[in-house]
Amino acid sequence: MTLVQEELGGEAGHAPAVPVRGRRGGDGRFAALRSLLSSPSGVASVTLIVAILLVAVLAPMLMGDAATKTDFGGELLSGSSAEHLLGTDGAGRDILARTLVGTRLSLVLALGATAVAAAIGLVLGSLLVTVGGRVQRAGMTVIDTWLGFPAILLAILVIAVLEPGGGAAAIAVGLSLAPFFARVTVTRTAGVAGLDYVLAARLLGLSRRRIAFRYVLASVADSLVVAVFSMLSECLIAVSALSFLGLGVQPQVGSQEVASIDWGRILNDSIADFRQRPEGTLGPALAIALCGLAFAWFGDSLGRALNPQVRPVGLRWRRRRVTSAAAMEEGA
Amino acid sequence: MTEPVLEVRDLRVAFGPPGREVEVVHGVDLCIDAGEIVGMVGESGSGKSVTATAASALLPGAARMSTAAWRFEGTDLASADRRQLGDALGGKLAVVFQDPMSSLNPARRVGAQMSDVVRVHGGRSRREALADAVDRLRRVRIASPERRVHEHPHQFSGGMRQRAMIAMGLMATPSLLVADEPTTALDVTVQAEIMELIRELNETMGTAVLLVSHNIALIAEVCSRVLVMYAGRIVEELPASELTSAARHPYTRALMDAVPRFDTSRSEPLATIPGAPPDPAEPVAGCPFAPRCPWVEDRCRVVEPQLVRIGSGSVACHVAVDAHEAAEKEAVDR
Amino acid sequence: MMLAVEHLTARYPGTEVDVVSDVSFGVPVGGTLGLVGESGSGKSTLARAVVGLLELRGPSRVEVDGMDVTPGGPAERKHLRRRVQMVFQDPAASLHPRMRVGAAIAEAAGVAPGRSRADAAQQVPRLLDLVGLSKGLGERYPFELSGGQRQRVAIARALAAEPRILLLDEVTASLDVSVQATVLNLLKDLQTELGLTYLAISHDLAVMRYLCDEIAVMESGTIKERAAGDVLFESPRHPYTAALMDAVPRLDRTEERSFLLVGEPRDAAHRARGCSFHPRCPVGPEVREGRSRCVDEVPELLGDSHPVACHFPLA
Repeated sequence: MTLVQEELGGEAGHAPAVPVRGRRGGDGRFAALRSLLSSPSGVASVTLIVAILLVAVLAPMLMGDAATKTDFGGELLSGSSAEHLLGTDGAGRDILARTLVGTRLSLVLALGATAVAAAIGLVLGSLLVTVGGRVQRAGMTVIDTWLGFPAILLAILVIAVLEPGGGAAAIAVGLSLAPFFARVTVTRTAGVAGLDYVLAARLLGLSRRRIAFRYVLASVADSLVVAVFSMLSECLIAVSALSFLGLGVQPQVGSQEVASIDWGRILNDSIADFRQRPEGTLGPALAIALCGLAFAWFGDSLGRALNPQVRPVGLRWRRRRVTSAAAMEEGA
Repeated sequence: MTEPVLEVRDLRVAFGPPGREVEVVHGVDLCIDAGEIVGMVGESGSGKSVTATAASALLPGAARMSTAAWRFEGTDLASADRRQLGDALGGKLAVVFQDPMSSLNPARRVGAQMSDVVRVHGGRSRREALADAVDRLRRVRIASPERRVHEHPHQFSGGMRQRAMIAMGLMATPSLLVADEPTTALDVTVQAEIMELIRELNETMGTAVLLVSHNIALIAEVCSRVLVMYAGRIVEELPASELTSAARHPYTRALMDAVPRFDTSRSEPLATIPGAPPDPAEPVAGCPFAPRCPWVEDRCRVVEPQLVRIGSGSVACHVAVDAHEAAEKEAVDR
Repeated sequence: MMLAVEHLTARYPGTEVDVVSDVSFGVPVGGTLGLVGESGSGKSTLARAVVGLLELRGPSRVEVDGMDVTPGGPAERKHLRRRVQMVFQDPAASLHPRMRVGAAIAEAAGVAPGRSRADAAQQVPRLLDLVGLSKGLGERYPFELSGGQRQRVAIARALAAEPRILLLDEVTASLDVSVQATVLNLLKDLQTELGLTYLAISHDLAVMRYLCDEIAVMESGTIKERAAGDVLFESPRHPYTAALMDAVPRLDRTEERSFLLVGEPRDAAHRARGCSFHPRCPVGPEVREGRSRCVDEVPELLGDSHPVACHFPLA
C-alpha cells in the first residue's frame, strides 16, 4: 500500500479506502458499457472495432465481384495504380478489394480459434483450481510443457492430423494457445479462492456454482477479458500464418470463392514477387496489424470498464471531483 | 547547547498531478534533540507517516515537499542533492518500517544487506562488515547470530525480521532512529520486547528516536515527548508524563478516552468521536477538528488555531488557550 | 449452551500437526466468550474449525444450538450455515470487491429459508440502519467506503443470514481507535437487541475485557486459563496470562514490568514437550529450580469457575 493511499484514508496501516470519484448511480448491468463510452480512448477503440465489423459484414456483399473478377487480359501482378490502389495479383484481381473482403473470414477464424482456446483454457484452469493440491500441481506442469511448444509448430502438427482447411486451422491454433489461457485462469483465480470473502460466501452456504462464477470468476473477469482480446490478436496472426503456408484456408471456386478469401492466402498470392512489388503484401499485412491493435485496445478499455475501481466515470470533459464517502456518512 | 539532531520547520507535503495537488501535511514543525525519544501519534490520514518519511528524505518522487528549514545534525538538507543527502544521512539516520518483509531484500542474505551500510559509508571491508553485522544481531537479541547472518529474511520470524531491521539501522552508529509503526503487525509480547530494545539502545548508544504510531499507550510508555497529529497538522505537543493529567486538546483527550483500558467500565458504551477526519482534498475553514469537537465555538469554524506554547507543551485550540489564559489570570489575581 | 465444544482437535488439510488440541468450552445463549492469544496460538484455527471449515480429528465434538455438527455432512452444514456467521478481520478482503454492498447484504439475506429475492432486497435498508449506516451506502462498492463502514457492512451481511451465533475474528484489529470504539459499541448493542451469542477472537486484551463475559487464554493450541473478564485481569492464575497483560502498553502504568517474556511462540510443528509454554515461562523450569514437572507432564485444565492449566499457578 502506498503512502498516498494510507494518508488519503487508510486505517491503522491496513487496507485503504480510496476516495469516491464523482459517480452516476443507476443499474449495474450497463455501468460497464456506459463507462466504456465515457472516455475518449474507450470511444475510439469501440469505433475502430465497429468499423472493422462493418467491413467484415459488408465487404463481401459489396465488393465480392471486384475481389474475384479476374482479368488475364489486363495488368497482372501490377503495382499500385489509380484503378487498383494496391495492385493486382497473378490473376488480375484487385488486391484492395480482396483484402477488404477477406476481413470476414480472417475474423471468423480468429474468433473461432480464440473460442477454442478460451473454452479449453477456462475449463481446464477452473477445474485445476477447484481440485487443487497435487492434481493442480501436476496439471500446471503439463500446461507449462504445453506452453513451451512454439504455437505455430504445434498447430502444423495438428493440421497434419486433420486435413488442411480454415476450420482445421482454427482448431489447431486454438489447441496450441489454450494452455496460455489455462495458466492465466489458474494464476488469477488461485489468488482469489483463499480470500476471506470467498470464505464468507462458503459460510453463507452459497452454492458452489455461484461461488465459482459470481465470486471467483467475476473477480478476475476484467483480466480475463483483456487476456481474451490479446489472444484474439495472437490467433489472428497464427491463423493467417497457417493460411499463408497453404495449410489453412484452401482456395475454392464458384460460389464458395468469395467466402474463402482470407488475409493469409492473399499474402501467399503476393509473396512470390515481394521484391518487385511489395505493395501486394501491404494490404493484408496492414489489415492484420490494424486488427491486432484494435483488439488489444478494445480489450484493454473493456477490461478497465469492468473493474469498478479503475473504470472512468462521469462525463469525460469534466474534472473528477474527489469526495470521501466517509466524511459524508460516518456517524457515531 | 548542542544542536538538535533533526529540525524541520513548516513542512508541507502534497501528492498528485500539478494543478490538482492534495496537501496532506500542512506546516509541521519537528525538532528532535540528541538522545530524545519523541512520539508522533495519530490515526490514519493524520499525516504522521508522511511527515516521518519526508523528514527522513524518503518520500516517493511523486510527492512534493517544501520546508522553511530542514537540518540534520546541523547540515542543511533542503538544498542538498542526492549525493549530499546520502553523505549526510547514510548510516546516521536509520529507518524501521512497519512491514520488514518489504524493506528487507528477500533475495539477499541478511548479513550481506546489513553490510552494505558500513561498506559504503564506513569503508569497512567485507569481513569487518560481517563481524559488525553479527555483533548488531546479537545486540538485538537474535539467537545464534553467526548462523543467522547467512540466512535469508524469509527464514526469520516476524519479530526477528523487525529486530534485524533495527540491527541494520545500528550498523553505523545512527544519531536518529525513525520507526514507523514498527510493531503494529507483531504480537503484544514481541512488541514489548522490541520497545524495550529501542529504549535500551537509546540509553546505551544515545540514539534519538522518532516513534510513529496510532497506539497512544505505546507512545506514552516509551517516549518522553509526544506530538499529536490530526488532519496533517500538529494539534498538541506535550511531555508523555503529562498525557493523562494535562492533555489540553479535545482530540488528544478523545483519543485517550476511546481506548478501552483494564479499568474501563463494561456497562457503559465506549467514548467515541463522532464524524470522520476531513478529506485532505477538501479545503478546511477554521479548525479541522471543529465538526467533531465537543467544545466547538463559532470562531473555531472560521479561524484556524495556531500552535501556542502553554506550560511544558503547545496546543492548537482556541478554547484550550483561552481556558489556560483565564486560569493564569486567576492565579495572578489571587 | 448455545455452543459447546469438547476435546476439539484440528489441523489444516495436508499438514501433519494438530494446530489445536483438546480444547473444550461452552458459550451460553446470549453470552460472549473471548479467545485471546498470540499468533500461532490456534485461536483462528479454532474458530474456523467450529464453523466447519476444517476437518475435525479424534474425539472432537461440536454442538451448535442443540445439534451435534461434528460429522460435517450436508445436514450438519446446513444447520451450521443457519446458525453461525463470521465477521472477519480485514473488511477489505471479506467483502466482494466487485459487488455493491447492498447486493452483498441482499445475497446474504436471501439465504434465510423461504425468503424470496424481493424480500431479501427489502431487508437491506433495515440492516444498514441496524448497523448505523445510511441507506444510500448500499449502492457503493467496498473500495468507496472507509474501514469502519466496511466493517459495519460486514456485520450487516453476517446478520442478514439471521444467525444465532456470530464469530468475530479480530474485528477491530484493522480499525482506527475512534472507529474501533464505535464498532464495539455497535456489537454490544446488537447483542442485547438481537439476543446474539458471540465467540470473539483477538489479541487485544483490553478490547476483549470490554466485550466479553468470559475469556479463554490460548497458547500453542490449548486453553491455558479461562475466567470471567474482570476476574481474569484482576487475578490471573496462569503465568502466560500475567505476561500477556504485562506486555500490553498502558497509559497508566504505575509499576515496572514483572513478567517479561523472552522469545517467540513456536509453530505447531515444534511445540515443546510437557507444558507447551515452559520454554518461555517467566516462572518456569528455565528460570526456577524444582520445576522439571513442567517439562515432563502436560498440565491439565483444572478448576470449576476459573480453570487453569498449570503445575504452578500464580496465587
